[in-house]
Amino acid sequence: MISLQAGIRNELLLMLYRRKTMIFFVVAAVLPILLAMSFHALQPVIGLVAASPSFPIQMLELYTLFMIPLFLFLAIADLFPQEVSARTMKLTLLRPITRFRAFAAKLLALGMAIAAMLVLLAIVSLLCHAAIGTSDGGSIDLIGYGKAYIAGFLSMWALSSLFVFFAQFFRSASGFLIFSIILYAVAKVFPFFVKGFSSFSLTSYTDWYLVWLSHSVSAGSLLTSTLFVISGMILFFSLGYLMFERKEV
Amino acid sequence: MKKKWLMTGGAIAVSGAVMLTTGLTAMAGTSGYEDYKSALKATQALKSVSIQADAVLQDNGNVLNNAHGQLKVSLPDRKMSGNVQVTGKGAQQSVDLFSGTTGEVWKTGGSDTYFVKQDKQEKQDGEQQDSTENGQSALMNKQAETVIDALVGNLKNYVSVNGQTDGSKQISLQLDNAQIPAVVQALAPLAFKHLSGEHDGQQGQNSATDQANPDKLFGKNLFNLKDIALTQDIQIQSVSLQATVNVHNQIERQQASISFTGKDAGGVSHTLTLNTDVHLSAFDQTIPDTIDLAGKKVQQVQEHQGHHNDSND
Repeated sequence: MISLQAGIRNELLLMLYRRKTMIFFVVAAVLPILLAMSFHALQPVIGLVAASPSFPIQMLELYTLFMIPLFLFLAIADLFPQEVSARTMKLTLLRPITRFRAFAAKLLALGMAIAAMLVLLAIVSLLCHAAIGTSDGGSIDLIGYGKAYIAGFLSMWALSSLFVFFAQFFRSASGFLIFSIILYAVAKVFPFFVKGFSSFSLTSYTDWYLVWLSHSVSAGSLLTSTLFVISGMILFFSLGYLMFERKEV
Repeated sequence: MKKKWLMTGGAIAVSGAVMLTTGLTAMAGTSGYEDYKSALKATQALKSVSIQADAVLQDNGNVLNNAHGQLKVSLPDRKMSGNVQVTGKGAQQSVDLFSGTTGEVWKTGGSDTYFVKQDKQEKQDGEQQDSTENGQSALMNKQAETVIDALVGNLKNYVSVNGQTDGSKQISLQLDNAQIPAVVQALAPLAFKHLSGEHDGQQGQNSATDQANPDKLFGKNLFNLKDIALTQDIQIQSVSLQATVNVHNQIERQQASISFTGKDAGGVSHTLTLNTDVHLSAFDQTIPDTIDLAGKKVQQVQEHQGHHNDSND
């Protein structure tokens, strides 16, 4: 257990020391403020609500669709292919830590980064609403929003396990980055042509948090979709681990 | 070593199986969304139907406009008849409509003049195209359905269905502010501004020309948003839809409601609600009324783009 903790600390520190992680977090924090301010300024022209009570959810939509996946691709590229090509993976594995724990530490660190980003987003968007928002259009349902954010976190973590699996095939960070962006775009467009694809694709669960905002969604479909996300996460975690285990570094 | 393989292998097998079954359940999904789609298709395939429709537009609970219509439609013989009444803030307006293969006839409530518009050529062309493009349009419809499914995404779980004892179904959908996709929400003010801006320009027209053009007559009355033009904080507050589907999978009744909130130029907040209620009956047994114009005051109306055809006939 201590080695796992040390592993997580190691990965988190590595992430923190990278400048792009910090830049990403700053952008993630500033973007909602910028959007709210520009909506506010453009109010007379387009008449859009600057920061309605649903602002945190509208921002969540934007983040689970673009920001967090992009951040994930960058972070995963650094965690796996980059470490292999820079030969720093060896240093990690020379420590008294099993491969499983090293692998798990990387995924847990990713999960923590996603959680941190979502918490940051929730705080910033709530502050935006408090500062320049209107109270028109209902109040903030904190419990509902909390559930939606947790669901958003789960789907993002499952998505990260999918891309960690694909990262095992790459030895160069830029190659993986390009591949993952293209794969994500294709997986997002595919359901427009093929019926039923979205039922089997983790990428179509980026807006899964929506299901948790309603009272009319049946418990059965909540259960099956939750099972799908969790089992997808376990499946790609295990497959990724199998590849990682046999990897020559 | 062996234990590790067993663990990972087991995890892969179990999670893979769970993923497959839950994916299949999601795909097969006997959800309200699928039920509604199939009912909509069955209703569209009807040959004739009688429609009763009501629409009410409210501002902060005060009725602004009220529309009531009765229509009888028969597709195979391209006939339609009906009556539409619109009660606006200023006045009431009603129109009787008859439409057949030869053209359209309408009369406004206040006068006894029947306006007649002859249809030529266009309809026959349409008929020929229908038969040749039938196969292609079926394919297009299927593709369009896939695209719509993809756009709807996880929102399709919002449609719930309640089976009744007599075999009919109640299908309902309720979307609140936070659940409406941001893109739709962003388009709402634009659509709103477009609607109110368009009709501001029409104020100068006199009613004599309006009578000859039923679209304008209603457009002016039903969507007169001038007094309640929202300029700020426009958003869709809620959308709801309720449909009753009978045993034969036909939609018997459909109620829809959408409400906007926003502020006008003076900073007063408004809640605009549009409620519609549509009843369908006499499935495949509707015979539209016809009108005998003999001995009645008739005025011919020419379509602007149809002028060049007149000399040929």
